Amino acid sequence: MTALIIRRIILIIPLLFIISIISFIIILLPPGSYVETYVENLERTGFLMDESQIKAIYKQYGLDRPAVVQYILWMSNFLLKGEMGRSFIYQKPVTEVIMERLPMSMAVTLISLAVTWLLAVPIGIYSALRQYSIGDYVATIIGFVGLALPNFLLALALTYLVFAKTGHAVTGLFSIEYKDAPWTVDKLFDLLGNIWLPILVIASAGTASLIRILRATLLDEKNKQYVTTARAKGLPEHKLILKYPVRVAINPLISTIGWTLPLIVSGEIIVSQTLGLETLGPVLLSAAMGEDMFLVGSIVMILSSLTVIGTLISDILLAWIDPRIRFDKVSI
Amino acid sequence: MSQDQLTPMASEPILEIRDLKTHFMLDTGTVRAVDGIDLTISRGKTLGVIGESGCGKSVTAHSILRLIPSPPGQIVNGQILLYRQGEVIDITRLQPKEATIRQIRGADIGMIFQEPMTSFGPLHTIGNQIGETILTHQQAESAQSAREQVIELLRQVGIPNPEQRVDAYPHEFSGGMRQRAMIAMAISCSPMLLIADEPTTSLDVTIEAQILDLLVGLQEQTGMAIMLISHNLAVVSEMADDIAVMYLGKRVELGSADAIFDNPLHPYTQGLWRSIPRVDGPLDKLIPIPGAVPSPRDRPTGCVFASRCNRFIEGTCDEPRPVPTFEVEPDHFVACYLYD
Repeated sequence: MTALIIRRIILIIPLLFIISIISFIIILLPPGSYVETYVENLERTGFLMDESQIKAIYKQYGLDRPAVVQYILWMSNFLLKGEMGRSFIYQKPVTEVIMERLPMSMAVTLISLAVTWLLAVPIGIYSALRQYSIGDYVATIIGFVGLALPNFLLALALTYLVFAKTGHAVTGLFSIEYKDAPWTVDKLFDLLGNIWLPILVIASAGTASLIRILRATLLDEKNKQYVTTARAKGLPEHKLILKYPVRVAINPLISTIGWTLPLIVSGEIIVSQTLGLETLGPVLLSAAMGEDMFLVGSIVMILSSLTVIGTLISDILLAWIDPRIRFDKVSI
Repeated sequence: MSQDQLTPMASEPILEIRDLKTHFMLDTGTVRAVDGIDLTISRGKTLGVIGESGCGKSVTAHSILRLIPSPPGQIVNGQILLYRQGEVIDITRLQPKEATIRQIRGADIGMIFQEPMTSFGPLHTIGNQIGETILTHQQAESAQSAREQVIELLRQVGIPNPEQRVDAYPHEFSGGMRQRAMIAMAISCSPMLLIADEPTTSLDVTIEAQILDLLVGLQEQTGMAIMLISHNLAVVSEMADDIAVMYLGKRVELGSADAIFDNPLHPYTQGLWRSIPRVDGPLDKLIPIPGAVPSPRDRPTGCVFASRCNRFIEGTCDEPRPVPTFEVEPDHFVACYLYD
């Protein structure tokens, strides 16, 4: 088990290195640059810069050097000082921009994830055990609606409904008066009054697909021989269902846990944009549109790294709950 | 059942099946998988049940423990009487999920299945899954003493190094080992009846012989009765005291193993014998029974075997009524008009 984990971690290192190179190439790919746009904008307002001033700006950001040197500088700053360059748009270090938004991003994503699981697992089990019952049909219909309805539409509709019924406008995670206020109990309550809506919206799509996955696997598993064996031992029905087929049917869900890790950063960009959430998603969007190269590159790198690490976590979890995976042996 | 062992009560029944009908109500029609079966299993004896695939052997066995998935399966008629400690329980009257049937499962009646490969859940150790049976039925048992019992059981069924193997997972066992573990699980609560549903079908021949020897040995030690279901005549005739021959949901012949072996009466039983090689007989050609088992959906209205029978009597065998059973010699019954 430990050997498996260590081997996987060692394998990850070169992978992350390759990811960082690709991220940097992505940074350089788009034609033009933030500086060019910046200069153009200044010229349009009548402020003419001469060549030396423009060069100075390029030099300030290290953009005058060859791409390889830029990459090495970017990487070494990150590895040695934990810095990821400077954001042009925010005029702050990239790490600062990210750290400002990260806690809220994590809160929204992790709570949505918890809600998703708490809803999906019991409903999925119920749906499979009572296949074709009224409850199953209701869960299926709600599930498909949740899956088919675009999240931003649900977000807009809910925002409108809440506003029309209560007069409370859910715009962002905080009401305007608390936006920049220090943390107080009132601010926390304000957050709770706002955060449920994005969480509900984000959880709805995830819940639907998890229910479908769990239902399908459990329908397969519950008729297998080992379930009949357990029944023939005289175990109570609820106990044997939870111990045997449900445990097996949870596996595909566990393997998706890893994919939710990058969602902490990029989760539901559209919903966040629609609802004005101060999470990382909108930052990525505006940075990409504004050619804020270090910010985009850093976020892309973080996203990719989180995907890799998330997959590792999934694999470790799977190996932990499924002995057939643990020993690297092919089971019959 | 150690207190009862080696008491050769001639034929004290522990399980009696009377006119059992288990049907499956499918969208495409009713499948009459078991259609009026009578069987008696006596204490300490082995009843062999043979027949081709689809004749209702397994459905009968699953009906005894109420393991028939419902819907679509349903016991529509008959009784399954279990005689235990002075009381008689009609299993067909029990709800499939209530406490009484759960006590019977695993404690009074143990069962082993056809597919040892998939009979254990993949995520729990063998020891956990066997010990669970003991903990379920013997409330006072601690996990530690259950574990020791499991080790002892594994030793009893011939698994080497049981102290280590108790913590192994099913995928670390071979097919034969898994079937041994399965037997250990089925006998863990000293049942008075062990139902073995094709216990050796998916195993190779040498392992098959070992498993059958094991069952015989355990029966001698514990005095439990065995209901041995197989399509393999050799297996059944070697182990069974009595043999029931099933065809298309009906019991067509019943008698002692010797009687069925030496003097098969029903044309189907005779056909079965002709279709297997005999070591002691002349090396004649094997004669398969022509045709195939008809679908239970459109079973013949008269004798179920009529369409494949080589001694078909026009106007009698195709009469649309159930064939009566005749006792041709003492304790040897056959459902065939030839013996009317």
